Amino acid sequence: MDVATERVRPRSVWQYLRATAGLRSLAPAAPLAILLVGFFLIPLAVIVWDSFGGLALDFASYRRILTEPVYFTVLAHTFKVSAYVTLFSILLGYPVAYLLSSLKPRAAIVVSTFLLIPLFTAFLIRTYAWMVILGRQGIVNNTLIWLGFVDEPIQILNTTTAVVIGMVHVLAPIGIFTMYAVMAQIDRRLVAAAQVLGANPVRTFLRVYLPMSLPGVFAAATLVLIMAIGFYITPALLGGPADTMISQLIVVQTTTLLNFPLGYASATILLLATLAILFLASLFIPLEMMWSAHEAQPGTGGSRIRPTGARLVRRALGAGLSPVFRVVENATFRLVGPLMSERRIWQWVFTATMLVFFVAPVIVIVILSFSSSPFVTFPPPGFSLQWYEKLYRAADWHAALVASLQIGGAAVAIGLVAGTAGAFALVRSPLRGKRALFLLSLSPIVIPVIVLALALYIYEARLGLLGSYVGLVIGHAVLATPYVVVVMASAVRGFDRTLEHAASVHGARPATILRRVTLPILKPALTTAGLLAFLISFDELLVTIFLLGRLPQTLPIKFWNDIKYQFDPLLSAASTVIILAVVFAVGISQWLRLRRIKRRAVLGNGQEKTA
Amino acid sequence: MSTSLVLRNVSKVYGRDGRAVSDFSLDVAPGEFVTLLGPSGSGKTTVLKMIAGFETPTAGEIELGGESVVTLPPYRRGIGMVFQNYALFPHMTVFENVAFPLSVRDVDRREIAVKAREALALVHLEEFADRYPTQLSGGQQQRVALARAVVFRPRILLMDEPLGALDRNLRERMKTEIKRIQRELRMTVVYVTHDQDEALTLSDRIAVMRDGRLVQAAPGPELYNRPADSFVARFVGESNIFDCEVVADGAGARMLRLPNGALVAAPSAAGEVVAHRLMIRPERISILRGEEVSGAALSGRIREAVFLGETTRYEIDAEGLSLTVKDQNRGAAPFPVGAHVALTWRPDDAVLLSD
Repeated sequence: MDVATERVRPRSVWQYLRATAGLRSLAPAAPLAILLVGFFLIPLAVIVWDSFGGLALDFASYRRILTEPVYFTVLAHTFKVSAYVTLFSILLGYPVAYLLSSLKPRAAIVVSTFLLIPLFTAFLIRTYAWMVILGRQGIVNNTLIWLGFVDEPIQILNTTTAVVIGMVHVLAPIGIFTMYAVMAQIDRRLVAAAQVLGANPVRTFLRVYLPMSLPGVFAAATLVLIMAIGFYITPALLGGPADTMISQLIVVQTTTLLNFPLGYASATILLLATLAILFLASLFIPLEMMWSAHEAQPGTGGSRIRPTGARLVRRALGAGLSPVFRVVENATFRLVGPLMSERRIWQWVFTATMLVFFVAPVIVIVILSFSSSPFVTFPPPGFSLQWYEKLYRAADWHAALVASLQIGGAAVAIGLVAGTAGAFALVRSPLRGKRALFLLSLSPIVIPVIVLALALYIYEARLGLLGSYVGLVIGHAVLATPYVVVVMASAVRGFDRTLEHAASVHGARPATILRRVTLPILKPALTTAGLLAFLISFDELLVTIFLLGRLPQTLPIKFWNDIKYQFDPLLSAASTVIILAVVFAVGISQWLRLRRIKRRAVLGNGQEKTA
Repeated sequence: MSTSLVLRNVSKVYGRDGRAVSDFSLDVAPGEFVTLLGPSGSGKTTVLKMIAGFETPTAGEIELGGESVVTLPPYRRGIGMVFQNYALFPHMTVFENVAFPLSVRDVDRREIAVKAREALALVHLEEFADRYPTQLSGGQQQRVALARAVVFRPRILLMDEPLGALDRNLRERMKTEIKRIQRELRMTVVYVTHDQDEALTLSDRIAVMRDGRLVQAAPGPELYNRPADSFVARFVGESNIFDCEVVADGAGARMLRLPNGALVAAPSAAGEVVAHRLMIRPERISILRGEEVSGAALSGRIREAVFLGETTRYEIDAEGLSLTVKDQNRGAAPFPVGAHVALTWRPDDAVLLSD
């Protein structure tokens, strides 16, 4: 058609906006962008810039960190511990994720409840539990003495072992859920097909299932590794002086020694290490996979991602080693074949052991809270409600709870608005760069918290926001919003847009559509996102340490101070109250899921009858 | 109540991918049932989306009842629409779904109740008012979608492959149902499908689309008997299509030379057409035994015979041409494979195609 026939006609504002759909589609992301750029990217840039003195290009701090043994040891130790933690989390988590992904929905919900409750229980509480369990008077030592293996308590607490145990306890469930998300997409019929075609179970697993699950393993390992590198609480409380990790180093340098250039440089190194790991990982997997936020590609399962690295490895192995493989596979099958049964007893035994490992600390805390002793000994010598009475009268705890609720509420409000609007924009925009924007919007939860904490500290101090309520809430919102983005993006992606079209053509205005169709349908996701955001804020320690100033203490701060200076069962009573809230929240959401499955099952039957 | 719809030189260009719809023009009279028929990717759904207002035409004009709606958002156009997957609101009951178009128009509550009940009665679903869409079968959901689309007596009803997800029996029933409701409400309907049976059963007029262009818009019988080109001929019904050449025989009569050299009589309308192709429907060809018939158009051998109940379908080799013939079963034994047969047709049953 020639240009002349394409008439220019007066356009309404509505139509004008539609014509510029590309840009308009990103407009809802404005609050998210302000939050990310204003309180994440710029602060990070500031500390990186200051780490080498800006234009002075003074790299003395870097030289010190990389040459002075004190700092280098900390760096090396951080990576060593993180590597161990990653290894154990994956090895111990894989079978659990495997079993979980093979269960029927209802059983999977029951099993996952035992993972979710510890997962959502505050880091601090769990670390406190491990102090109780691993301490000189703890369960492990008491048991060992009772069994006669040792005569006097052995040192477990304040060793690297304790740090690794505590970190695995925190990170393994996260790894399990990441692996589970990938495994759940693997078509189990392929396993059946391989067996029908003559592969024994061991070979089927190694050649069919394992390769398909590897992207999940890789995603989980990456996530666990980058989280481990930035750990602060666990090494600080469970480790000894030799277990200092880089986050602690940064805290000490910037809060105690006030050696800021060194702190900036350490933070920058930590940041770069994280980015390097992420870059390496991105050669193998789409990074979204770490939060199970990748778009499921029907039919291709995990195989869409043919990682360059993996392909090379496989080619190298496949050529020369296949006879070796075959021998090993057959030998393994002969060995474990008799142990394999239809009912997968060994998988269940292993999974149950792991679940006990995950849940035990929580239970220990609950039991300890009823202790009659003023000391943290386990098992408690007698029953008493004294700690609850104390807690009931403890005004400082009440104030901390109120402070946490206030800040959490505000952070959730900001997070939900910015995150949900941003998720809409990121999913629905036709712009091509949106994947990068999506990853960017997740970056506050990717980089180590200490880096963000330090960056916000310096930045807000310069803005004059430090120690203000607004400043603290923004800090929490920066951390909570990415979770909202993850949850809402997947919900929006799964949302059937023809519903909005149907509403629109039948007379509903955009605002009406949002109010009566879109938001009501997304309500479950909004609830999940809000809860998650709240938990993140409720559990936040590091950013709060830096930004709190003279504001009233939040619960984690109160907890943190008490663990260090006043270690008594009152903490366990306070913890129990929080645990109960978590159990309640997890219980309700799991029960809702269960009900949805049941209803669907009933419906399915009903339809079969009528058909 | 019902309105005319005019599409004038409508085009839609997507990004750099090129044109989805090119220079599309169509007039739909009030109360008319028009079907947009075409293979997937032919642009029929894009046309529907532009009528509904989900897409803005790159060029051209769309008028409802004589006034341009191009600049109106969907919610101001007063259109009812049934979607391919029904697009029922999962969080609302059947009643709330049907009441939706009225409630967003701030209609009085009591009136909503009355009208929604009426619409549900129209599709025989009164007793399902309090169910949720997921608690209904596919056919029931389809009818809820229909009730929702007509409850506010829209100026025009759009239907986007509404029967695609239903099984065969249900589809037959729903066709009758849709036709009945359309007649009862005397509504203008634009219906999109790739299924020629649906198009033929339901429509007053069928607009065949190909590659974003309108190929032919005509009532079903005309489309079938006088297709505009070989695409329409192939898409609507079965057809035999040959290249041909118009020649004059010794007596000066117009004849057609087929690729195998055979000469057949030209249809009387052949005069003005610069003919390139000849189309003849399989059931218009008479099939006769052996060479006993003189003056047959073609002679051939049966390559394959398939019994289809009311008809038998033959694949025939006619000296290098391959033909499909459908023969009514009237009790005579079918021709065996390999039998020599003669084929004839009335010259005017053949159609000369312009492409």
